[in-house]
Amino acid sequence: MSKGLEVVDLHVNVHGKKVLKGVTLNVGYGTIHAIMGPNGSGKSTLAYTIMGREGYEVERGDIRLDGESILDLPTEERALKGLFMALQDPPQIPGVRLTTLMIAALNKRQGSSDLTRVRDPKIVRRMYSLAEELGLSRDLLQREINVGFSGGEKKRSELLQALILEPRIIILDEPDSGLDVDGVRKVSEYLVNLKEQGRGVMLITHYARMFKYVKPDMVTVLIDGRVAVQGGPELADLVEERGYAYIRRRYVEGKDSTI
Amino acid sequence: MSAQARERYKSLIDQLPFQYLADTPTVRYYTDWSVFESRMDKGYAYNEHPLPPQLARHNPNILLGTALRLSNLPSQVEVIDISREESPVEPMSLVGVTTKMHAYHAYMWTTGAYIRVNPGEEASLVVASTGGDGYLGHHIILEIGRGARLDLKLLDYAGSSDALKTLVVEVIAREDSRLDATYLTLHHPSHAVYKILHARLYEGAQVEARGLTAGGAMTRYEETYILEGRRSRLDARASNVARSSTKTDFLLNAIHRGPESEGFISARGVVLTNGYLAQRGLAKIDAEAQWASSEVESHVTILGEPARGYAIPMLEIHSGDVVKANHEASVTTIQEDHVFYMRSRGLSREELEKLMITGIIEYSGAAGKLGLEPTDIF
Repeated sequence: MSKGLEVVDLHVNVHGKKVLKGVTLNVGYGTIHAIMGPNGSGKSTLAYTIMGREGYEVERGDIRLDGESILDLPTEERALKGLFMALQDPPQIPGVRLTTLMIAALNKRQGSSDLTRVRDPKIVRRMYSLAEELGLSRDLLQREINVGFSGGEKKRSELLQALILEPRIIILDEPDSGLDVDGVRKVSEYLVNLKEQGRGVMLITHYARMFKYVKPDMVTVLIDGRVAVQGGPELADLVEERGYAYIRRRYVEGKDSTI
Repeated sequence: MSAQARERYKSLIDQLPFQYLADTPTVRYYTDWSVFESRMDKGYAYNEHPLPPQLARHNPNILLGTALRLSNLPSQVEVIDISREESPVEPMSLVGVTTKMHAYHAYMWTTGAYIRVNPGEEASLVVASTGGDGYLGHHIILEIGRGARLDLKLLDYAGSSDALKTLVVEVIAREDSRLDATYLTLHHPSHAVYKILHARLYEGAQVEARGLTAGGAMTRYEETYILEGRRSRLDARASNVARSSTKTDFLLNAIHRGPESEGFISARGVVLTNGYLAQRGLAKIDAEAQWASSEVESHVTILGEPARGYAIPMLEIHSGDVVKANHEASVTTIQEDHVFYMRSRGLSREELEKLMITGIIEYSGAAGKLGLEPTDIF
């Protein structure tokens, strides 16, 4: 049985439009798998489909976690099995504080019916300590989810949740957008930590600037909903140097699948 | 109150309108006045609703029902039964009598208390007002002396009955006084309540108020603070819940007249099933209130169909010299992206709704201060 996340020949329609046209890739535990590609290549669609978002219809293929198909599971079941997605632009949710969300999500994982009760004060201390390390204020933790957060605060808040919930597979959709250089470095450090803890990381990004601080074990470039090429960290360097137009010419139009 | 004054108010009931102008061209009146109108000829209640256990355990020092009852009154506080004796401050003198419901209350109210915290003293007080199976009207005048501090819990309860209650609270916060107020408004879905809390803050007075309101068949609740004195300060937060088959028109206003006065008013509301909530707020800076700062915000979340909710914050500025004047508002329903986000954390749509309701109930801090769980108000 394979360990980690497997995406097998995935074909996906979104609102009747075919977006993914046969994507196959793996995210193993203790590895970072970077998904790169130009706008509209299907990177976010891949992430949403893995999480089971409504409207993302799997026409063909499979998604497996530790060898078991999760296609029939609703989003929350996938999350409870250990998948986590840090959204590119997470929504504002008035009425629910960030701390409440994290405590409720933890309680749900521990099978508690009382979602808002703090069962272990150590968790709250850990939240504050990690928030401080990530450069988030205590005040922000008490605010409603993403209400009035800056772009950088949203990214850090998403990462904080990943650190608190300790998922097995973490999908990060452009965690570097909206961050300054220091922010990118900080987020990268935590991605390396997550990998070292044995978690699988799927890192979706347009740019290779994060790879100055975090070396991916595997890189997949998506173009037009298909895997254009897969390889090691050197592929990210090639994208950075030559751009997606070159990748398209060489690997899509030239039908060359080796670097 | 003199018999002559009462008679004057009686004649005004027929002469005055419920309100002078329509609220908006589309929603004529945010308050359903017909509910009050249909209940105005009900006789006085012979009974009073006992406070439910979650409120009774606060052991009110002052309880207004069919009569005024006092219990373990702190020595720093004086109380006069103004339904029997003359009040040092004329009832309705702060609010004024300009509408039909003002006149109705001024003529009809039966039980009242003038409460004074002596200057320089510090006290804690629990005041409760309860409804009955008929009309009950309560009038409270609270005077916080110069330099005094009061920790107030004001519990307004009305139980199951298709009756009417009016409650007017007039607060005078003298110079450099402090009021830390926690208000609970809990009305059974069958009861109609007309309520006004009107406070005047003199120089250096500070009010921190947190309220939780769950209205009834029609609850009209107007909470207004006049920041009369220089450097008077207000921080008022409200949580409003419009339960199934209830209607609430909630108004939270800060009127700045004093220079360098500071006001922050903020309300969060949630509307369930077929509930109705209008959540309004006015921050007004008068010409003489130079270098004042004022913020008003109002957010309403609608859960359910055919629930209706309105968030209406208003800013009115008559001074050219203002430090800060902000307003913000939103009316939201649960969107697919909210649901997906929470589900991606392992939480279902139903759990998201519960968290939203709990979060909005707890927003103002009143529920926490009163030790109330969300289930206590359903």
